[in-house]
Amino acid sequence: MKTALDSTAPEVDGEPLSFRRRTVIIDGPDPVDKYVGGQLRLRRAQIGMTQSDLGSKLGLSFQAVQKYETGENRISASRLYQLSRVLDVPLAYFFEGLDGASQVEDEAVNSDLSRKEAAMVLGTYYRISDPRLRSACLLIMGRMADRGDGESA
Amino acid sequence: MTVTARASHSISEPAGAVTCAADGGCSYLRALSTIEHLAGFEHTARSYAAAAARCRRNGCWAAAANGGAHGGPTPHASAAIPLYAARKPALYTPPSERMGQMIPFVRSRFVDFVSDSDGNYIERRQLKLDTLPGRNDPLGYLYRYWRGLRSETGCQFSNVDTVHLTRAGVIGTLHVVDVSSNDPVDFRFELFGYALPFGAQEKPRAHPVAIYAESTLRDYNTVRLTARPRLQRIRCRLDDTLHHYTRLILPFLNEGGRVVRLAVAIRQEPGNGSKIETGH
Repeated sequence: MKTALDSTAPEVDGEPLSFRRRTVIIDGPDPVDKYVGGQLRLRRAQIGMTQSDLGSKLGLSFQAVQKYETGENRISASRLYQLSRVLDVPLAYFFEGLDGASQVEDEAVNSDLSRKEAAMVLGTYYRISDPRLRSACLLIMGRMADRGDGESA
Repeated sequence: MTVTARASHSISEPAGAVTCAADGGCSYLRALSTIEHLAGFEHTARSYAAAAARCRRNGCWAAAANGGAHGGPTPHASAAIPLYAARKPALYTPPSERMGQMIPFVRSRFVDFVSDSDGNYIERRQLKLDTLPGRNDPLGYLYRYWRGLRSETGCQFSNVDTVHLTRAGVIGTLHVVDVSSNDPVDFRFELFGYALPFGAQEKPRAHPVAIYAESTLRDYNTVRLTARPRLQRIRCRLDDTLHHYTRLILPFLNEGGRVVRLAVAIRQEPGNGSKIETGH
């Protein structure tokens, strides 16, 4: 049965918008909290520090550190700052690779390919000994580039 | 497979590359990756796996970070890589020294002996857990760590801190067994110690020597049913090879308090792996 409250509920793309608060028990840890926790665990293991060691430096139990690492407990800004000091990493470390790590990798590959292409064009250009042919090549390339811009526009 | 470095690694990029003796990348890092995966830390597991893959592509950067150059010496068990040990030297001792710390037989409770018509035999002595040495002993460290986990947490595998396993020095000889099935035949290894001279089967049941498979399954099942750890000294002859080791079996529970996973740590004792000459 549809209630008056349901009929006035806002919708997004035809789906009713939920105002229910996200909870760890129902929804599981937030992916970002989980990622930050994973980075924390990785860095801790990297420097050979146990959960108890880290906990004692921060005045926490090892269970609390464990909950940070699983993302079950959210790390506050002040705690994150403390962690960065204790683990000797910049604050940005905890978020490194969080957004589009693969995209960055793809861009790096593309940029690498572009550099190789540019080097090939330059190499070929300077292998043409006749200056008139070289200027003709430049002219052709310029025309082709203009035409390409016109087509794409 | 030649066993490579025992000590742990950091996850920094390699400074140079040397030839790695491990098959398919760093076994040590892959073991860590598996443990992290089983504990539910996928992010860390992937990072270790990626580091192991870098080893496969570029050579062992752990050795390189210790002064090795490209084409330099191949790392192997005798050349311990002290990356981690340099930070935490307290518990690392060379394997030869560890072998000397035998638990006296007078402390054993009872002995079980089985043999078959092919000349294979297995002798299992149950040892008291309080006989484990307190310091510089991998099994002793691991047992004390597990006892702490049991008293302070639900003793689930997800609570395991790999840094403690590394400090104990058990990675490489540690097995993880899935015992969630009620039928011991279905028990299976989730991690098999890469430093052991046994062939890695997926299931303990698949061991070619039937009496060994049965006795192993019986011990695993006992720990599963009782949820109590077990310490044993095993001496056996399997296909003309003598095996001599101490085995610690630790149970881990699920959220319902049922034993679903075992961590089995092995300490190899003197005489382990020696071949028997069969004369005519």
